[in-house]
Amino acid sequence: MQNLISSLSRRTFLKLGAMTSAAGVAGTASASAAAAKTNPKGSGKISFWHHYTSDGERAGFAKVVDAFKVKSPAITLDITTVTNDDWMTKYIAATAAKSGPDTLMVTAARFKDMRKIGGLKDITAQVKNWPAKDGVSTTIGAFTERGKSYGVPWFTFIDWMYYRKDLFDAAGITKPPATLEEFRQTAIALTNPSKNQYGFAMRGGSGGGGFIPKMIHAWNGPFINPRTLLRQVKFETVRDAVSFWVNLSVKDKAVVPTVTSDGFAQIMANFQTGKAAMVMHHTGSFVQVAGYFKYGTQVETAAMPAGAGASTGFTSPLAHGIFASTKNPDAGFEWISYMGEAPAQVTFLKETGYFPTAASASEDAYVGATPQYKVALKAIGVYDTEYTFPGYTNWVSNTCLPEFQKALTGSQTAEKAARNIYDELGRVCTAASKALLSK
Amino acid sequence: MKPKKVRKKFSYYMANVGITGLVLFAILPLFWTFYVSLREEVSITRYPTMLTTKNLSFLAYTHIWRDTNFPVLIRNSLIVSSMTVLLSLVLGTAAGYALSRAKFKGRQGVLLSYLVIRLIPGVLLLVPIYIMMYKFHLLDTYFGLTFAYTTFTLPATIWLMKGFFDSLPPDLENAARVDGCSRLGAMWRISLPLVLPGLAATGTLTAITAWNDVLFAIMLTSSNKSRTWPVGLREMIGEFQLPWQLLTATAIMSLLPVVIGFALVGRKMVAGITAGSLKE
Repeated sequence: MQNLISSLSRRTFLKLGAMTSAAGVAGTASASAAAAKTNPKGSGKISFWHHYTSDGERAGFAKVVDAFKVKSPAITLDITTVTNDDWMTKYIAATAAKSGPDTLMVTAARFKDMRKIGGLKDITAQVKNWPAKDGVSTTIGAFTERGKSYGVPWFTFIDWMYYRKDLFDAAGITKPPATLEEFRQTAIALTNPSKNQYGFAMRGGSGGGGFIPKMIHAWNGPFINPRTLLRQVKFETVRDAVSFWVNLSVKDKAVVPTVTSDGFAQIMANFQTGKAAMVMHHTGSFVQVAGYFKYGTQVETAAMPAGAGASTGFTSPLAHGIFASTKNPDAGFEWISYMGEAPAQVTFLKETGYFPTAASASEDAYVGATPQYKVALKAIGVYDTEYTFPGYTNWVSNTCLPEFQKALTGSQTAEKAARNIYDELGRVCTAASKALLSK
Repeated sequence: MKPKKVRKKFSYYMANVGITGLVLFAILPLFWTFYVSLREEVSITRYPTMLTTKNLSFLAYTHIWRDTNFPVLIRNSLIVSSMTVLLSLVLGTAAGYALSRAKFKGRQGVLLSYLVIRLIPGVLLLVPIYIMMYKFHLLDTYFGLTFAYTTFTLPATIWLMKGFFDSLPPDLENAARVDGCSRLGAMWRISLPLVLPGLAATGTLTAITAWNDVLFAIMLTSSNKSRTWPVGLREMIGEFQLPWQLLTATAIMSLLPVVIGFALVGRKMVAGITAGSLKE
């Protein structure tokens, strides 16, 4: 070997290098061609992207998949997990490369952005011919734009509140708060720093920005014109809403002091350890809370407190859509429409607590036998659907959250935070409206 | 005792205190990670900072090894990291040697262009790389990930290897060439053995980059065929769950190959440095 190397001239060496590179490229190309031949499109195999990561979600989804295999044996599913945080990056890349999955999840909050990017297929005609379409009439609107449908609803997160019944009983409080003012008074009454107990586990860390639109909505009612996408709220209303929320911590001291760094895991831990008597989340954590407490005696669910303009709670439906460049839309629709019906949704509910969107699911024996779900059932049709317009999620994460955190830490007033939130909302809405009109 | 001896003893103890402090600083997070991996999930959530010996077990480890796809992901990580190291070292050594020894027009420009590539954040190249990989049918393959990683590791490899070759006097190779060696033969027989420590260090840095990457692994893979362990770790974190016990156990298990690798390469590196021919 050494003799061979030492005998090589520079020219020969360069030639060999070039030949090796060419062989490599040729090898890759032939491998590519072979791969293309062995993966014919439209053969009944469809791919699907989801972002389930918990054991409950995976177990529930596996049951749904198994049932679908029995119902539609001609269709083979190729399922991929894409983590929630990386969803949009991968979706954008896949849309640009026209290489996305045949079917995929679409959350209400992301729908407009995903639609704008262009990876979702118009499925209006297929939905029209779908026998179960009437059962999702209240939620399909969240995935409809200009009369065109882009998703079949799968489940919906319904905001609600968990409260520690044992702590309420100990404090002599007999019922959960119904209005935001009652909520504030209850949180103050349940706060006892000497016992390391606070009224409310407020989310001021990751995901905490989402409560700002909820508060503005509760004070004002819908603050975006759904037709024009323009802002329809006065600054004074935003100021009052943001101040109320911030002052629960800053003035009333009724929330767990670590609020600015508390994300979902922390607020739930605070609730579990008795550090907080109330926590706001949605139906998605029902099974998890059941793992720590007994419903009825230790913990209960309650509707989100109402504000002057509307309830604080939203429903956040999630649907399944078909990718724009799919080669197999029929199989894709068979799969996503299967998940749009009650049997699949109740199967998933039992494992996860994620509430069905199919109207007939509310008549299911399991749902009826679980009293905590009464709160969720009442909320359907009363709560508004979470906002979705281009730039919304960005506004929530990059404006609402940091401005809220600055107010919580005292580095700015609640009014100043409200001003920045209000102004940025105006900019985002104007841009969204212009984009809408230019279509 | 003489003051000089006292001072020496004091310095000795202070140095030991400092070293112990540094070692604790480095080891305590690892120890805590290991400790959390042995605790029950409920206990971790309720009393995160409690020290206890009750109910400690290796259940998380057996669960991960038996019931998850973690072993496959570790295997994938090892394959992709090894391929990246190999490709980066072969190309980087050849290019580093050429840039060190050959004097040609535009040499500085070539070197700077490699540096500029390093300055571009990987996230900006995600979409173009994804599209390229799709066009070449390299999505969800070992080669796809290896090529993507090499894009980022190669400039550093070239710069590092050039530095190592620069530190060798050209006279060593010239002497070999006078004795009848070709340029390539001189490089292979004389220079390369002398830069082995450099190769080991560069290979280690490259391996760490490939081993720990999560961004490209998430983007370019979609199944267990090629997914690496950081993706598996990330998938454990849900919107409504943070399974500390499993996460920490996985982190400890994924450290093992790196620790073993370091132990092997570390010896080589030290041996190579101390056996440098120029010191004689």
